[in-house]
Amino acid sequence: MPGFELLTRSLLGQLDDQLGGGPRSWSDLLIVRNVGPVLATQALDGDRVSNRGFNAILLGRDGEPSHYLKIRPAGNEAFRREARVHAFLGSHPEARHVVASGRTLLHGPMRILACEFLGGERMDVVLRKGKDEGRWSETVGAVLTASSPFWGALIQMAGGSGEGVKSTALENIALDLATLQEIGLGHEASAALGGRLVSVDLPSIPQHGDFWPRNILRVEQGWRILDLETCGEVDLPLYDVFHLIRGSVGATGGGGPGAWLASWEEFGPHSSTLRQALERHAGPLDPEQIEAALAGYLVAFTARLVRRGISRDRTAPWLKEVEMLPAVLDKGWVTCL
Amino acid sequence: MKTAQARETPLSRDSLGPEQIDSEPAEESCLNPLWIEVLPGGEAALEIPGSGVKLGPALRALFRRVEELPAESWGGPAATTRIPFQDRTFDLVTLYGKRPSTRALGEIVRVLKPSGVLYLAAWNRWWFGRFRKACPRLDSGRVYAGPRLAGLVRSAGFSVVRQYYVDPSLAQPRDILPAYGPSLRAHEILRWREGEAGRLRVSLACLRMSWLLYSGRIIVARV
Repeated sequence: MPGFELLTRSLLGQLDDQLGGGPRSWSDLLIVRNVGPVLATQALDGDRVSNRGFNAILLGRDGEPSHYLKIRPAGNEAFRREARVHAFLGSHPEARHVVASGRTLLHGPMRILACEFLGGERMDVVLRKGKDEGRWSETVGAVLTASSPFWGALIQMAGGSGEGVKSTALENIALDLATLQEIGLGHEASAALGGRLVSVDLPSIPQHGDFWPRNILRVEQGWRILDLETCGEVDLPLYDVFHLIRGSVGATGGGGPGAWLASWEEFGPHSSTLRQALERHAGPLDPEQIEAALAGYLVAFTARLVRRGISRDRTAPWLKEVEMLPAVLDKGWVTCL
Repeated sequence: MKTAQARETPLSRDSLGPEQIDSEPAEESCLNPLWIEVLPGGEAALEIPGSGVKLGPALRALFRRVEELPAESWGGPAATTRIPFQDRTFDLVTLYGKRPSTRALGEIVRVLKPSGVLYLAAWNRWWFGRFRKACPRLDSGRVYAGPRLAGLVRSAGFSVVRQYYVDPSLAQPRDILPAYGPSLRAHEILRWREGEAGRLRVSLACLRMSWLLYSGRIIVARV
């Protein structure tokens, strides 16, 4: 029996209470997505399954998408993490309103996270439609406000406020900087950033880790956060805020590498939103810690791109921002707060 | 119709995120659609390569023995379409970009074990891009799948035949779509609703003309 049919029958059986029973053609129910990255298959419990998995959309009886499925081999750590986060947030009184409800299902050696399919518009599309500064600020501000319960729930899930626990994100910063030096980061910039980062302690604050406009959806009831695979993997304070703002500036054209940093420094068009975001989300961090968090975010993310084998022309904008960073920070990036 | 997570939009080069990192093209990505079939056993597979694409590495990971039929012995005017193996030898035969004749399909049925699988990947004869000047190379030696190919496979003795469209291409598949109306319509609406070209694609899908939209087709058949 074709794998599609087996998978679809299995899903429909397990989601019967939501989809309704009754006979129908099994083969017309799935759209399988993101198969490109799947590398060679491997044997697992007698079946042949991909070693990284794939995503799919399950259609309902009316032909409309009903579920968004993440299908991964058992043992996939990112999947386990996402399933745990979904289970916790789904029962959280406030955070459950900003994520899609999801259920973990089984299909042979595969694990499936079946989330409700959310109709709506991605944040990057929203930003592109309304490019003026007022709309940009309004949209970014609304997302940050709506996401507060989500971050609060992540802290609860990690077991507390994070006070007294140091972020582990800066432990590997020397290695990250060495990685960036291999692709052209100047020794001076590396030394300057290293010196700034090793002297600062930051509290451990769990983050979404992939909080950018493509993972945020505007629906009728507000905003929803997607793709929780990396939740809690990063515990660097403000990581999500920086990533969202950087991505949101880029979604509207961006003005090139470092435009969002320059905008801040020059009191440019996005600066007021940037400041308000930090005032609201930086908590007890002092300016030195905020700057360290910014440096840590850019260095760690760029090194991650390099280690994953992303081509140099695609990592170049990130590297340029890392190179700009010492000069930006020396001017007192957050002292205006 | 809802729109949602699946919508794809062009990205600027500096807007990389982890999702895009994972989506980097992989060297062996042309192998991927193999998993749409729950493959049997793991003893032996036969590969009939074509158009410069080989599934070899993926098959070697799945089967103890992988045989390869020289491309020149298949489909050309001097070809014998004789597969030089005994009856019921293989669990899987892959045929990539080569249009099989009725006699050739009969040979494949002969060498497949009971419940063996034929995996046939072909370029879509009716894909609109084939007719653009920008893609002249597509016509160099490739054979395209038309609607009759599935019927040909059935008439050769395969009992279960499934068809899929591949988007954007066989070499770099991102979406695999069961060749059925509801799935194709939903895919087009999710992905391409905006813009004139998108509206045209959606219209074609709603008019049951999706066969114009995709460059690749996969046919999976079981003896």
